[in-house]
Amino acid sequence: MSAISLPTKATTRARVRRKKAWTPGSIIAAAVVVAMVLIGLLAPWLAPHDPLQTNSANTLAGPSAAHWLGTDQVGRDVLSRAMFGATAAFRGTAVAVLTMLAIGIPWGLAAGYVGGVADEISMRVADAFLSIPGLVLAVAITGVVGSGLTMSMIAVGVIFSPSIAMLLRSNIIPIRRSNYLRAARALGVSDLRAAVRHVLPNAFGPVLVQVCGLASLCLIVQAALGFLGLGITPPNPSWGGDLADVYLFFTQAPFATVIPGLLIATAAFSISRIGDAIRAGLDVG
Amino acid sequence: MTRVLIGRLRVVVPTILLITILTFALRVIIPGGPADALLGGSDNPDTIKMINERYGLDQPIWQQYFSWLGGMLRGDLGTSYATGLPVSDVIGPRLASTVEIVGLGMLLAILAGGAIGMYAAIHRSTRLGRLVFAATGIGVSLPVFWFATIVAGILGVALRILPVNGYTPLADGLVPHLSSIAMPVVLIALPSTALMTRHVRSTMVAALESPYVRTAWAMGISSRRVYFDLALKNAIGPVVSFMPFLAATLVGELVIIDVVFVLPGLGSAIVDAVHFRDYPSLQAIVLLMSVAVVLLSLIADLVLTALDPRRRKEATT
Amino acid sequence: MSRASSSAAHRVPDGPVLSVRDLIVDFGAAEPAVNGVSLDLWQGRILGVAGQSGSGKSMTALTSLGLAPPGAHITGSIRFRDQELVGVGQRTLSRVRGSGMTMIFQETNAALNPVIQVRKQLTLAVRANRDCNQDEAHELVVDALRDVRLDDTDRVLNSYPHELSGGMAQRVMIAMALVCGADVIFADEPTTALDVTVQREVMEIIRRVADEHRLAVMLISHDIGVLEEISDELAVMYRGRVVERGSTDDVIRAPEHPYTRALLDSIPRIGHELTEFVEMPSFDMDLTSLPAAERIAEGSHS
Repeated sequence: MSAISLPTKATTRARVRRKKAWTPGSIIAAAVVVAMVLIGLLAPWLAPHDPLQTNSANTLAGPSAAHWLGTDQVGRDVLSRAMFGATAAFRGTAVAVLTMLAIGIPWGLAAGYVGGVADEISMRVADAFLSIPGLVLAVAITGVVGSGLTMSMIAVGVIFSPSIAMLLRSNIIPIRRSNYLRAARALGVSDLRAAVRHVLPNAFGPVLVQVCGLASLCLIVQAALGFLGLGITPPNPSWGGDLADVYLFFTQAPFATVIPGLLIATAAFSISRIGDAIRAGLDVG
Repeated sequence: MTRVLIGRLRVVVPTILLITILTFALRVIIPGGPADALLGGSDNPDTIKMINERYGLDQPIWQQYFSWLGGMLRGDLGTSYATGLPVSDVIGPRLASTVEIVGLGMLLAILAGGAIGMYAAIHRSTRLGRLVFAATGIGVSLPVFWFATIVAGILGVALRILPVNGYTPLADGLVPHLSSIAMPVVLIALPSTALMTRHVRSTMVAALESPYVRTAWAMGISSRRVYFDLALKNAIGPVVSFMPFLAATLVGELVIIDVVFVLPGLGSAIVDAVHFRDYPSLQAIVLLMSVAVVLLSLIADLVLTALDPRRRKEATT
Repeated sequence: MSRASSSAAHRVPDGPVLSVRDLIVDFGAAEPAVNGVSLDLWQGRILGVAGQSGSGKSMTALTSLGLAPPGAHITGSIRFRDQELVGVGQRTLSRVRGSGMTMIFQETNAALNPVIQVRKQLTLAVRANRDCNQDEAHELVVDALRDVRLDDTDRVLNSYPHELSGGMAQRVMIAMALVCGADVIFADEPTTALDVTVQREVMEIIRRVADEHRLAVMLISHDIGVLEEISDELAVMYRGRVVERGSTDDVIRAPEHPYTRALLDSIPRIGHELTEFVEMPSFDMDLTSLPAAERIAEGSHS
């Protein structure tokens, strides 16, 4: 998944075999995401330990019966922190994705529909947004409004919204010229209504693919903020923050650095795999 | 080429102007205003008034914007809240490592991503080709800060093959210099290389499955020419439009790489600015990084345009 | 038609240059895309292949060139001169492509490379297939353009494909096939996207270059009316099989297979009043049970 899929020329492909969208790999990926979200939601009931409970007598320990994934540098239970970390990761991602859609969909519909100067201006604004690195802006926003997940992830959502808008726009322009829209208009359906009723359902698939790619990116940005100490305020658990805490102890306890990183990578990869599967499904249809 | 450049500038200049507005807007959203944040919110109104006057914060917002923009254009980046020195003094010494690492990283991402993407496109139906493509999927979702900590931990701390103690200038010798930037350059380029690979592969596959490539095969054109002369030319356009995103990804990673490898670059400068609530520096750095993205994509665009006759033609008309 | 018989009459061919026998191209679908096709192409002769889209016409041509899409399971025999092409590697196939056999396509806007000048595309085709220097290559290119009646050679050579009209682009395509020096040209619906007058011009050019350069041409079209005017022989394909084959005169005058009759009836003719709307019959039956098909199937096995 590239986070922005640029409109490429349609090619006539001599594709004979149908591509299978839901391979075992992508089913596992979807299951992993669902499981992580559920664990994140149910962490207060599922976690075996208090994620904030330190124990100076048992630091950087390997897996044991009491602590399945061991303990960190101040003796907190890695498994419990990982579970609560999922809450932060997916909440942050959800905030960014919702922001992205809330801005990107109306923007894209407007740009594709109104056309002309408005479209030209919105393209320039999109260029400007896409030139500001998401992580840099998220860091800056955190610096301005103070630590905390919500504002910085809203900022990330704003920054990524043009790629949703531009995708919708490129899907609308051909549809706008199509006969069924002309027919709908001839029947007196208003432009806005036509846009919502005809354009959105048609662009739904590509947008979903895009959202998966961007969600995966948002999750990484969220974790990166935590890693820089700018997202969730320590000692509250977050995958990125936990990684930053333990990575200096890499030589003593390499295992402890693996868990949070692996969780971030797995979550991000699984989300983008779902996007790939949807894309593969769209290719044949 | 000059005319192409002028054509591109018509897009680039408005983009940069919009970036300045977005960057300036950072100041507007500070809760309680900059003075309040600067003083910790506890000082009396007189002090706040004095601060506002000193930094020009009592003027209307659009006037503040234009004087700020005017300053930026003259190279005056403002005064650091943290040190009281000009922001350019804060940022200036931080540019060397950043320019080098971002520039080399971009070059690496384009070359390596381009080559691997070509390979994966040509060998799309073989096992190895598919494996390479699948690996880029992991590369894209691999958090660099995690991978960087592991690589730095193994190569730098455990095995002591490469140093992780910051940036050694070229003046201190070529070998120490190169070994100090080797890991940062490779790691900063990693996600962008994966992205580039995926993008090049998909545009190359589209070109290779096109009717005109089928014609070339039918005319007996050799596979080397089909891949490197014909299909590659057609893939250039989409690759160019991908450059801004590639550059933005790369510059974004700088924050992580600077922190992990303790490099004196813009990435660590922005983290410092956040910790010291140094808003003028923060704004200047965001602006610089965004403009760097625009300029990097402009350079890549110009170079790739020089290779593509149709784009050259379009740009001049 | 008169043109066709007169041009073929003064030539005694010394065996087919391309000989396809029992070709099956299978993608694992319910029915193979090409299902036991046998055809011969002779130098200086045009074989018209008619049939609706998906009947296996283009797939037969692409497979002969070794350009069947990946995943095709190919059996049977394709003999080009003395060389068997089924089962050989891409290296051999790419040696035959261009200098031995080549193909021109419909929709020249897509089939010519949009970002490369005509001059370079033609020169690349020359260089890929002939050992010659720059001047000789240029001469070949100019000759080929004159052959296809593009006399304003400089303008054409300096153009990009999108700057040419459809008819000109198709003629450039034919010139490209000529400069390769191939003996066999597959022409896949070369005039389908063109308007009627241009269509006729292009067909006449194909007939003329086939005569002048003694080319074996397989001309593919869904329109049997286009084929009958310039083909020496006709083959009719349906669902991956050749259901009728013979000299153009015989097939037109006395079509044996109901599908051929249906194709012929669908063409409006001057002098014949189209009295009723001819509906294309459906042939969803086992083809081998039809008497005519059986005969042809047997004939091709012998």
